[in-house]
Amino acid sequence: MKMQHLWAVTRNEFYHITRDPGTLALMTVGPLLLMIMLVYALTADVKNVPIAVVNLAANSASNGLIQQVQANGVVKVTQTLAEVQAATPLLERGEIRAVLVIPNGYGNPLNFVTRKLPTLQIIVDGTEPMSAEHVLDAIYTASEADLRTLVTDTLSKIPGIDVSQFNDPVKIETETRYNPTLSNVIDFYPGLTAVVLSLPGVALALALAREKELGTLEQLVAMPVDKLSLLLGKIAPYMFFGMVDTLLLVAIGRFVYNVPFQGNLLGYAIFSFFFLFSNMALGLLISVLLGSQQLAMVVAFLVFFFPSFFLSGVFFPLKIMPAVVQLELQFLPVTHYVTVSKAMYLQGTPLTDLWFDFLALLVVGVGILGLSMVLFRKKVA
Amino acid sequence: MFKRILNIAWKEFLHLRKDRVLVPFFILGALLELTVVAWATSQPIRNVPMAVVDQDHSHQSAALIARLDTSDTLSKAQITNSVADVNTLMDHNQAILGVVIPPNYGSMLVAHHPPTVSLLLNGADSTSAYAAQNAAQQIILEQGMRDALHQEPKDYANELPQVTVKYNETLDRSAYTLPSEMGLMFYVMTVVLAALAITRERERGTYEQLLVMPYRSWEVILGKIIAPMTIGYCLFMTMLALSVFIFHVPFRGSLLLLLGLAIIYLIAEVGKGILLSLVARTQLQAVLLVFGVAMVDMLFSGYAVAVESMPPFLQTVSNIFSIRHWLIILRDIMLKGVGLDVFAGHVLAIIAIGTVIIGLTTLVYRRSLT
Repeated sequence: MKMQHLWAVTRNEFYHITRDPGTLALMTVGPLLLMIMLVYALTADVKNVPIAVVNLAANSASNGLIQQVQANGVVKVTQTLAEVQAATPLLERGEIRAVLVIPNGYGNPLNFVTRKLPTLQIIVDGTEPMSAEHVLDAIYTASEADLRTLVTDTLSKIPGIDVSQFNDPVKIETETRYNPTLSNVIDFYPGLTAVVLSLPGVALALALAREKELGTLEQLVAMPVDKLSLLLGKIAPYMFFGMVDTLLLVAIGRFVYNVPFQGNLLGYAIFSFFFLFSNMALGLLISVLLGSQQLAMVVAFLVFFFPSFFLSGVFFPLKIMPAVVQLELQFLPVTHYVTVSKAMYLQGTPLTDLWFDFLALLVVGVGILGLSMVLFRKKVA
Repeated sequence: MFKRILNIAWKEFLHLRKDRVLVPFFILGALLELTVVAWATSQPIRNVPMAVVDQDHSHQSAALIARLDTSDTLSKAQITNSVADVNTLMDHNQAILGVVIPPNYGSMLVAHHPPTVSLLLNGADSTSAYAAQNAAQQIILEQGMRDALHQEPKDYANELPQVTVKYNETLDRSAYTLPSEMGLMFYVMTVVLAALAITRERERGTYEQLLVMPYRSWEVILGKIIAPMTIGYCLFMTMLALSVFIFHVPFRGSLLLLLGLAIIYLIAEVGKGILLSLVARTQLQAVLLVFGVAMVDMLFSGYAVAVESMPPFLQTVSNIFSIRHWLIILRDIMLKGVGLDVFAGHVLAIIAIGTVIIGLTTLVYRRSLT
């Protein structure tokens, strides 16, 4: 392996990247844009969801309740209906997502004393379960609190009644570590970096597939450059962009989304280097195995984005997967990267505690690289 | 005329068949994704690892721990001696929830002085932590009620708001994610196939031959559309069958109506693919363009971000994306079981968008002739 050869191939690939606007965009603004979009899409708050109210009580207590329900901004009362039946067509057309029915006699002190409270009714459209849960939570919590205030306020005016029985028997105090507001952005961000950092691997797979399709790969192989310099030289520019992206992502997380970075930055950079390298090996494997750009693209999409999105714990905790799937996932670089990335960003776990993932990533990366080298030699050279 | 369109369509089929791997891979990939998403989203969060510090050692605290143990959401309690131990477990992600029962918990409860139970949450896994917090809070309050007031939770159930969930009674997430994934996969696959249709000719130098053929421009476009549409349509039907029969997503509306509307939607999306493919110079560019466009489509589809939560301006903008209308139609037919009278507006929107796209495509193709 000669440095001169390596450098020549690297420069050649660099020109390829910078001269094709598509590839250049994919390598530079692509990852950052993708990150911003993902963060926006995956962590958007549910707010201003339209609901209707059927106010059969029509008194100050029910009006107070309507105010309370809208207080945290999740739902917005857009319609006031005379009867429950009128809500069905509105729910069907999706104009409202929920209905709150306030029964006649709500807030009437007499009902509290006899303990025959009229029941509030909440009807929710379940077609979008995630936002429905938030809507339900907002209405339910507000009505329960309102009801409790009404009861204690009314009963405390009557002598001889102990209102303490309406208070919570236990106080609960919550403290959240690593991510005090339980914010989705902070939780997802470290995992999403793995998705974004798979772009260089995709770009490499596509570039190699194109050279193969156009026949220029054979010219490269026929050059008096040894195979290792050729492969490393091809990989180097993509690695370079990947490393720049890694550090930029840490900075964006820190300064734009307030995602802390608690761990050892140097250790993280080294780990990211290994991750990018094994992604390169994976990209190489894909392009060596497959004939056309089209195919390389589809497979790259399936291998890079698909698992990193759904299986690496970004959306669903890894623990709810069946044991077999969990075992299989150990063979993907991205699984280990997400584990380490989260630990480094949020928990500041010392490197010594993450040796298993370091080792696993190394083994997986070297394994894939070895496999693709063998195939490269067999199929191309 | 029909013969000429069919000739081109046949040529496209031959291309795709020659590629032997591309289409099977597409279909397999889509079905795989659907299966994984269905599986992952139908799982409730269970066995969230929990650590408990019992500083009281009374029979009330033992009863509380026993209650926490019975929860499906939480794992069996790992009993630790101090808060420091809980922190260590959290650092290694072996605990997502820590429950600290204070000294005198039992005696304070009996004396009607509310004791303070601390919950420690591991925010690095916010989804599990949130579920664990909700489960633990409810159990602690109910158990407190039992020990302090000797009331069973069901004693006051009729005073609480009564909740009815419509269309998706169990709030099952897979009933939402599956129709949406179906819409998205179907979209991505057909747009990519269509987008590659013309760039491939351009890259291989056969584009000029296509132009000099004695065919009208719209005949070429239509011919190019048929192959990706057929494949997309078969994929759609397979995914639909899979969702309904294997994953038990309810199907309450008219199947014929859905299958008919799918064709209209397909025409609009495939037209978009061809348009992108006319704009792009190389296959790589076409693919990148599709990715970019698909991402924007996805943002406005209402799948990840609820459209109601967007600023009003973006809500208006979202109407020009046919996928948004399509996902609404899918859910309306499958989950709500309503008909055209409810969502006619969305159908018209798709037709309008499709007409504009096909018109634009023919225009661009014709311009490339000169």
